[in-house]
Amino acid sequence: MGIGFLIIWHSKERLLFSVAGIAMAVAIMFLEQGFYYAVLDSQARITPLINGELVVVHRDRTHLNKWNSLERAQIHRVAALRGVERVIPVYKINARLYNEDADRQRRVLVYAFPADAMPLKIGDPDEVLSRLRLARTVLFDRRSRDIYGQLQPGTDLEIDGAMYRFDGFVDIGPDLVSDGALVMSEGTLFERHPSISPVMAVLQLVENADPASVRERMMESFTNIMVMTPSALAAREMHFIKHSAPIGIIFGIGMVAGLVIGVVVCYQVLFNQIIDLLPQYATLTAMGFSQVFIARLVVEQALLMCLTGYVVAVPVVWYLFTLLADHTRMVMALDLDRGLFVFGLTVFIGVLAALLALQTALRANPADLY
Amino acid sequence: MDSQRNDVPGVTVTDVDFSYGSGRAKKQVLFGCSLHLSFGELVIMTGPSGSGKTTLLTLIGGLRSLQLGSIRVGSLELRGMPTRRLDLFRRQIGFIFQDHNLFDSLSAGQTLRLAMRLFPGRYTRKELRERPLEMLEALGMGEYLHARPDEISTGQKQRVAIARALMNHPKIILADEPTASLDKETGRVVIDLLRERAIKNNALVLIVSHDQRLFEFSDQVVRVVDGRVLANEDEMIAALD
Repeated sequence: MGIGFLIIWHSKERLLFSVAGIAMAVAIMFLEQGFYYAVLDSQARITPLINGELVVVHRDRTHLNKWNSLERAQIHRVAALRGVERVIPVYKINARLYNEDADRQRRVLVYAFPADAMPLKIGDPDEVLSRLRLARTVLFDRRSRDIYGQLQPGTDLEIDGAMYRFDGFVDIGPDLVSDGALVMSEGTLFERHPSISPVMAVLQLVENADPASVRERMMESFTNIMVMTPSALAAREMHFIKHSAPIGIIFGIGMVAGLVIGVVVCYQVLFNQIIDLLPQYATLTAMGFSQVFIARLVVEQALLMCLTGYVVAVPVVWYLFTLLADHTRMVMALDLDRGLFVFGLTVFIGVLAALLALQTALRANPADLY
Repeated sequence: MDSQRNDVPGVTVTDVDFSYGSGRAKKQVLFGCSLHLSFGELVIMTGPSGSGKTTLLTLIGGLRSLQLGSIRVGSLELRGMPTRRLDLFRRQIGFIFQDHNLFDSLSAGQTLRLAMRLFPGRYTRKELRERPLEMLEALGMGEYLHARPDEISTGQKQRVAIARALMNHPKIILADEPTASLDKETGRVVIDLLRERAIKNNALVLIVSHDQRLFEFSDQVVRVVDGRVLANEDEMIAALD
């Protein structure tokens, strides 16, 4: 067993303090990272649900919260292009849903599309479409935040002062701006908004059609639209958020704060440990152990503290993410890439703290032992 | 200095001066010290407190850099020796400090195995397992192989520290009051062991001590007074006056 491990294990109180401190620092870094990606993921929430190879939006619609609409006639022209099997328009409006339990109205996003094709992967297609075909029927996003009251399928809902039949659920998920969503058919939407235009169109291509070629043809034919794959749309959305809103620096500062806390805690424990054992470190130097050996000893202790702190933090973070995701309905994911990134930062904390504390150990003068 | 002794391999100290501090705070503690210590000898260095004997010990051990003069250990000149080479030189030395300076987290066996790590590849696995126990048994500490410092007495800790210093058969053993915290019988065991090492391994054992009882076991007694090594009896008498 490593000498470093034995040294750090011997001071249980100190070890506990350091592990707790580092676990807190790791948790802060994970949370900041989680919030950052939650904001990004929620803004592009709809993109992984798109049920098609390509998406068409207005050229001026630089991000998904901007609702520049397409011309209805353009939808038909797009549908006529070679390689396109089906074009499904998607409409979007804000509405107010009456919460009977709280006796208040809440803003809700409404998606609408023709009841003969699914542009979004939000439930079983047959079930969703069969329900939407019924007049004035809506489906509610079960992942909406808990502000709309207890909604029972088979009951009536008041939306913008009009009554609709609530017939079941879909799965979409909220974002930072919208707390919840409803889905209705294009026909139901047209009853109150006859001249509304779609904000995007989902393209389902014929078998073996090359999305890149179809996209190129479309961009050449139409100058006022953008055609993208769903993943390109998601990337564009995230790029927009990163560069237009200061979320990167906001959460980045939070991560740096976590890093600094980790370094301070780890350094403080190491420093105190070294001060208490200064004669012992000086003895090692006197005996002829090299500076490299002593450095390894200190780094070993630092890494042990940090790695233990990381292992303790992970289940805590997982629990917190679950809690936050449940409460906010935003995507708080703990995946391998993000875990490895924070792991790398944790190792960095240990190495940096060790290098700072090492100076004290190396300054121990063996001549002072006599 | 006896020129015949100088021909015997050992440690030769020539005109060593040493000062602490600098500028106005500079204080010279050693003045032209010269002596020869042969391998295979047990030497006691004695003198009043503050006489410079510990400073001389640390210079011989390569724990401080020489300022003026020369210290040769065999054919090695310590003056101007690079730090890395000094580290390697000190591996040939067994240091016994007044305070044991053991790691509280390491058992006696682990402490001795740590010392053996100074020479990776020198010991077989069997030796790594067995040598610590053999050394502790030689010092009457065999049953404390797995004991940590907080489980043994001060005297026993010192014996572990002595065992640590002797583990790698050092060529030079430098000890500062090694028997101060030991009872008479254990102190005798330690001196006998050191003497045995001096003879068997042809090692130089240099002990700084005020304990006159140790003089009878020594091959040479070096007296340091006011930073000077007393060369002969007249000087010693003059010093006493």
